[in-house]
Amino acid sequence: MNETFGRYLLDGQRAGTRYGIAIPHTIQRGLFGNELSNRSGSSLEFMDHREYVVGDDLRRIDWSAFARSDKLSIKLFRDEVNSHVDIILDCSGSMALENTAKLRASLGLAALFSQAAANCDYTFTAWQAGDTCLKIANGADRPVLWEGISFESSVGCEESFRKSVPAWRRRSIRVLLSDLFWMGDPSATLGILADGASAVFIIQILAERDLNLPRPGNIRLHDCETGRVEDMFVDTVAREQYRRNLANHQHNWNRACRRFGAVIATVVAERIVEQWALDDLVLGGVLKVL
Amino acid sequence: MSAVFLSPFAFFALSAVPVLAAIYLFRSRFQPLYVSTLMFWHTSKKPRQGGLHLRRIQTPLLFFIELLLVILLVLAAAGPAIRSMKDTRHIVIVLDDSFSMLASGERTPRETAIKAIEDLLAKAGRFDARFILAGTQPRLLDVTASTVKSASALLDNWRCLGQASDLEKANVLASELAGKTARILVITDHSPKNIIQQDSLEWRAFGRSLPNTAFVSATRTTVDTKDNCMLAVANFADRPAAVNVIVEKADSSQIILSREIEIQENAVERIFFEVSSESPPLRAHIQPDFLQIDDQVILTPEPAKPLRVRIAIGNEMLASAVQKAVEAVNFAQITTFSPHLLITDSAVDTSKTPDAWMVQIIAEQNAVAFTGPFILDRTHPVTGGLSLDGVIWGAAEKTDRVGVPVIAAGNVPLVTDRETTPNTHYIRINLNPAVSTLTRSPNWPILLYNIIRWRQSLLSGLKQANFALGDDVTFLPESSDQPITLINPAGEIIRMPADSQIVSLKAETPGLYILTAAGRQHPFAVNALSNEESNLTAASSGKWGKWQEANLFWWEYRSVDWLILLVAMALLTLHSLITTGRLGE
Repeated sequence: MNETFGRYLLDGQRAGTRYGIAIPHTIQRGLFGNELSNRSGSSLEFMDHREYVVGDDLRRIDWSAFARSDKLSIKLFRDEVNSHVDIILDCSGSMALENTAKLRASLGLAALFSQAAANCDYTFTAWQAGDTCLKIANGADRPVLWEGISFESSVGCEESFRKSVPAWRRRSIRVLLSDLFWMGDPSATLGILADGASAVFIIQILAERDLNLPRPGNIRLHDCETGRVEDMFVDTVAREQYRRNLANHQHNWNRACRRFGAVIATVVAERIVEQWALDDLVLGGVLKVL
Repeated sequence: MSAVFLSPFAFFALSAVPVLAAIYLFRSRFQPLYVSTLMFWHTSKKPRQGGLHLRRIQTPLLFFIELLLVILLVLAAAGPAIRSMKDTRHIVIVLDDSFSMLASGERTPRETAIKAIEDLLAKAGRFDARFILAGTQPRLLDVTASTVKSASALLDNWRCLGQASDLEKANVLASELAGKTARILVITDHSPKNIIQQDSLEWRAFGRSLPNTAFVSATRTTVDTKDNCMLAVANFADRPAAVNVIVEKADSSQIILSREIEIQENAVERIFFEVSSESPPLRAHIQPDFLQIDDQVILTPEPAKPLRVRIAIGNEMLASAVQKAVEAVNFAQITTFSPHLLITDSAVDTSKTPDAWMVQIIAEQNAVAFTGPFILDRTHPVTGGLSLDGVIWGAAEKTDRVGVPVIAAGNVPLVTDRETTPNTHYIRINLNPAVSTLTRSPNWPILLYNIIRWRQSLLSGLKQANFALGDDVTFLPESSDQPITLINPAGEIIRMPADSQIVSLKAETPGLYILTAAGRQHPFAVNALSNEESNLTAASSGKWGKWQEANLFWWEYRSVDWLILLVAMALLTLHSLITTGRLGE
């Protein structure tokens, strides 16, 4: 185990002692899961009706209500949550951007979530999404025992999930730690990630360098993930374009997350690694302070 | 020049150009930066949005726009002005008319100057040019040239045959003609002696420093039956020169003297020789060099014009004083027959000799001694060289007032002059030698010499036979009803009006002239003899003056900086559109 990685994991684990996984809200144990979620799902506990939309499961149409109101409506049942957390760590090269705190924040947050899960008596499994999505060796143990983590992949999580569909536990809470920097429709990734999940948390980890752009001038950009080099004249227009592209990208992810009921939050690595004050994640309903 | 800059110092601001280039060069160096992804830097979606896409060429385009802006702003600051084609430029051109302008290297200064003047006028737009020939006296050509062709025609009158050129006097005349809005151009072959103060004046010299050997002086003086001749040859060079001087008869080319002399650098050697007074005009020459006009001199025998003087004075003391003074004048012959000049102390009937001048000396017994101050009319030929300080002049206080006072003591006229008939004068001297020191002073022979010389100058014939270039040649015919012809050095025969009482002409061409009147020939020679003009070592070429400072001639130009500023503003707008990205949208 890389000594640096171990130190970062340990930092995160220590920071995680203050937190627990905030959702789903625990009510009672069910058939498949140990707890019930506030989300609508497939448990036997009826929660509410809603209007039918194309694509809904026809088996859930409340025909009695249709007979009364002449409107198609769907019965919503409280979802069932398994008290297991799958922590998926994006291990592409961009997560280890040199001279930033991105690597430290990624490893730290992975350890923090594992500790938070443990604090809530959840089991957890740590995964690394490299060229393929694989379990981290000893990923169900304490983070300091995790082995084989490497940030050398040059593919995005979507491709990683597609190459070998991870055996995430059904009804588990899935936490994706990534900068989300790959091209493609976020729905595709979320579709895989949310399939069979009881809750999905997307934690976007960015570095200050991803947000604060270089001063205007001629810049030779090195893509730390693909190794591509590109010469650019960065001026006000280019900087504005970059911000607009990033905002669009985040907007796409936010929209996709809303569709899939996932929760997305963005953290800036350099701002969290010193004190591990994760107020944004607490307010965002991802963590709770114990 | 059709375009000028009123503030050329503004061009120092062009030093901003390398600074700008340095900034862009610095910016062109790519700073490495490792980033998480390049996907947000790409603008691959832009083409679908349409519109202009100038960002790829943004760097050089902005650089060139900024470069152009800097240049335009500097140009505008420099105050560009173009020549107004509507206004006429007034130019007065002073031409050095001395013969040094004929010195030939490859081309004479005159030829080079003509070409330069024509070029200048061709570029001057609309103009009117006046020409002043600067000889010993400035002469204004009375025609104004407004085209290069007419100017060239006028320049044909510029022959450069003057003995000297008084450029200062010519410049004064040019300044009076020019007024405040004309340019003055001085064309010569040497640099200005003083720094040019006049803003409107430009001095252009087209000379070349050349070695030259030349005759600088030549005389032929009759003594009894012989003529003493002197030739002075100068070597204006920085090394000695061997000069072969040949003297020959002008009519037959018979050599009467050939002498080789060695002349040190910047020195003058003189040759003396005698010829018979009956000898015809002589031509002396040396080997030709860069300036040939001064390599030849012609010496004609001076006309023998003895002045007959009759002395009729009863006062012994006075007679003796007059006798001595007249005898001292070599061209005066004391005679009693048909005198040209009668000096007497009594009233004499001159009706039989109407051409004779009379000098009457009034020696009153009751004369008063005057010690001065004496009033002299210095413009009168009689007073030349007189200095009466310390002289006691005894004269009658009251005399009949006859003629114009020439010398006076207070209100007492001492010498008076009256023109009785044309070219005939009556001079009266109020003098008692018994109470005077005048007759014992040098002023006495001077006074009488002046009178005798004055009379002689008005005798018929030529005053002298050897003239310098530019001199006035005057000839008094014996009678005004006889034809007069002149053969000039080119062999042309010029006929003078038959009724002339005096013939006057300008000695403009060196050479031998023959004037014929009443069947008698009067040869005379015109020579180019001038130390200053033959010395070509000081000749130079160059340009002095402030004509290039167009702000001194602002009225000839129209400012166009507003036009440049308009273009600069348009470029600024374009620059702003590009840098804010609005153009692409």
